[in-house]
Amino acid sequence: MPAVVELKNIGKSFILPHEKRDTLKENVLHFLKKRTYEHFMALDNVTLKLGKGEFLGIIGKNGSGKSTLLKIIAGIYKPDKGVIDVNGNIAPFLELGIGFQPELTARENIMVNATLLGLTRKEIIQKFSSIVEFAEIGHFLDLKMKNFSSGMQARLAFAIAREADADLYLCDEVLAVGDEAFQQKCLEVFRNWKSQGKTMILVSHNASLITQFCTRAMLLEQGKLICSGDPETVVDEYHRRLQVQSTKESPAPDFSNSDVRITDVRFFNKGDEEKDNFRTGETMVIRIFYKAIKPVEKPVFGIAIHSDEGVHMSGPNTKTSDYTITKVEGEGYLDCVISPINLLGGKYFLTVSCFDYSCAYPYDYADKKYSFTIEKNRANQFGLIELPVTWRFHD
Amino acid sequence: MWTLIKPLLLFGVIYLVFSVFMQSPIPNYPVYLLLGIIIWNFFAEATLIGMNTFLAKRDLIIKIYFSRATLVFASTVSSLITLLLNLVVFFVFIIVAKIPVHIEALFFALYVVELYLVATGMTFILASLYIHFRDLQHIWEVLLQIGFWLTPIIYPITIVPVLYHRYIFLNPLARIIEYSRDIFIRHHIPDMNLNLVLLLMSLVIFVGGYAIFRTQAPRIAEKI
Repeated sequence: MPAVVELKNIGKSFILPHEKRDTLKENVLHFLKKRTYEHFMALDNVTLKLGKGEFLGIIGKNGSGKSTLLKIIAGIYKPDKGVIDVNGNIAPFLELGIGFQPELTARENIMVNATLLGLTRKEIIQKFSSIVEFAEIGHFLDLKMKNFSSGMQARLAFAIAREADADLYLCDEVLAVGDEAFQQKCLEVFRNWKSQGKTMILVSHNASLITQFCTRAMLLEQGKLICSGDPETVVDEYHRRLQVQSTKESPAPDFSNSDVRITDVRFFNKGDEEKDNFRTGETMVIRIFYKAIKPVEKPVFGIAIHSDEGVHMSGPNTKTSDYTITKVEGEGYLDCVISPINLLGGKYFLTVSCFDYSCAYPYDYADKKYSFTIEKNRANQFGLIELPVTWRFHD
Repeated sequence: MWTLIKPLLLFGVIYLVFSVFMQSPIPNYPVYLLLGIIIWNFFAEATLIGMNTFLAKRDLIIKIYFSRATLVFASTVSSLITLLLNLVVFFVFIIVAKIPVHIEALFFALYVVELYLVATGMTFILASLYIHFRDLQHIWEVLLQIGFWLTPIIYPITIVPVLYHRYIFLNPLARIIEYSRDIFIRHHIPDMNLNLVLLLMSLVIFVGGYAIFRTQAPRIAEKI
């Protein structure tokens, strides 16, 4: 089977002149002065082969070359090196609602935008009613676009986009805009494309979106392909690199000489079995090992749990739990028992800290140093936590 | 609407000065003058607006791929429509002035096509350069001003010493304007050799302009 997209050793650099010189006057006046440039490698030797029906997620920090890669596949930029081979037509969604003109009516804008997405006049007329229906703008068809709310514009843009019939869809953070309901609609369409065996490339910062939808992922860093393959593995690597970098950027304060140190943290289940992979609803024991160089009275131990997207889930400590530790001395451990752990499937990061009683001076603080996983086994609940819900029906 | 009125206003002023005040000896001067102004004005407008087309449509260019030449054609065709509307006004003048229209007037269609090729070819060149030199629009405006006076629009070519005619006619617009006057006012078709020269000039400018544009096309998205 031929690949839908094949990239071989793609390289793209941008030339950034140190001094801006984009008028004829400046060029004439300074023609003797040598220009100095900086070459910015946006993409360096990227190779990729994508077969039909694959959903590829591209993840990476800002400026890692994700969007440049998408633009190269879309034909907007021309690579300096390498070969691109695209079989089939492309629907590029680097932005929704391309070509919308505020002075034109919604009807005219549908024509403009759909034409840009490669639909023929006949196809647009055919799909017109379904676009209008999906966008829920029936009454406002002949209203100028500038009178539309941004939400309506986004809905219309998306309604047109979903009608675009292509072999390859390129999406750049399209989901980042719009409210929750809108995002759900987008996901719906993605699922639809997936079931139709379409191929898609999705660029996103949103790790869970990538693990949820993509059959494959690749990680870019400074224009280089770091790894590609199973989305979970790639996303893990992405998080690991983010963490390494954040510790590099802001080195943790040095606690090596403080009075109490957290030496280790381990996870156990109810039966005192060590593990770091739990099921929702299980009992989780976080065992915090400490070492007190000299006796410290009334220390406060605390934890914080963050989701892999950095959402602070919970942050209990001994003081808020009204649990007083009178004194720590020498080595020992403290158990934090969470029963049940009602987080839903995903990877979580654990921060463990030890403060003085006023909670103003840390003895030790291990920011997101530890992690555990909750298995994804409950497809009947959505979100990040499981609430103890009971339903009561009153007739 | 204003693009339609602009050449007429210019025509009104020049007509007032040269025909009423200075008593121009040219027969059918209003028709003579209007034809020159309409043709020149199309060229000036099409190139000035067209050269800006890549920057004006930046949002599209950086978000989606389509043939960049489309933008140039879209811009010049829109100017062409204004030209056709202006020509309707011109024909009203012809009728009012009771100038007979003979079969040779059909040749004018060829001149409109050649005019369009020259204007579009120039727009390709200017639009390709404009992404590198952002002051080109001012420079081009000045050049157009000079061109307006170096082209026999308001004055007859006969007042120019014959020695300089060859330079004046290096300008394809001078040819288009003069040949159009030949068929409408002087009622004769210019020599076929001259027509051939004009056709070649138009094709060279159009093809050359397009070739220059082609060298720049892949880089437009990152330059704007």
